[in-house]
Amino acid sequence: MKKNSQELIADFEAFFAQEPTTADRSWGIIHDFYHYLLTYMDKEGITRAELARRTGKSRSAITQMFNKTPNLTIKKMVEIADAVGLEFSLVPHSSKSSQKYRSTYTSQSSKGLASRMEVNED
Amino acid sequence: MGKLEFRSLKIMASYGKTINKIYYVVENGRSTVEAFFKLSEEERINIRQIIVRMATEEHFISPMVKYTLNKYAFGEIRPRGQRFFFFRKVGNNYVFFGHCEKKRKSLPDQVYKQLEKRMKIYEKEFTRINRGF
Repeated sequence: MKKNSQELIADFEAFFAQEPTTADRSWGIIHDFYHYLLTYMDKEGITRAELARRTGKSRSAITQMFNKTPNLTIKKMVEIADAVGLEFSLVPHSSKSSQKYRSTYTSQSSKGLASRMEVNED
Repeated sequence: MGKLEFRSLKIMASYGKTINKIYYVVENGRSTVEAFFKLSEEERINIRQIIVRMATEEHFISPMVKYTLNKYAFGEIRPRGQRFFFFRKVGNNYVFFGHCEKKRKSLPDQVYKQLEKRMKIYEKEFTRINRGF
């Protein structure tokens, strides 16, 4: 049966009140990665053209990666992080701890400088 | 313009402290968020994660989010090439007010002009309602 507007609006609110699923946490990792990558690139003045040069990819391949659904593999994340000088790691936490639902993501400059950024702050 | 409401979207505390509040427009009992259910479950979850981060990060950066479009004073979430969710930042609030789905990846300028017209009405009303908060 087709739902009316009020039911759909209620469903929308209920959807946001749901506990995060496995898919939420997976997308969360990807979004956090992009957020910290783009923030870092902006801070360090690394352009997308420069990223293309460092990864040995064409500019159109980088543009496509940024503009299409960014369903990145871990291998690709590590490759990009290496190219801009970030260290990327995924560290599992016990689900019994009081961790947040965000992905566990730590990035650090390869030179050990002050660019440590963490999402999960237990 | 009919009866306008700005409903606040609750973000679960487990995602972190809300910095920017999320609102969506309900006009005459209808809302653009109804279009949300035309998307696949995976796309909905993706958008949920984007919106949650827009709420809990001071300035969330994503290739899927444009905060201001060329020539226009509103932004869009583009979860897929041909789907658009439009919002306007008013203070520390994001107000989602429109949605569009086209087969093409870009929209005619006329669509944006109409959206901006609507957006200005919503912004004025939102500011009026929230004055004093």
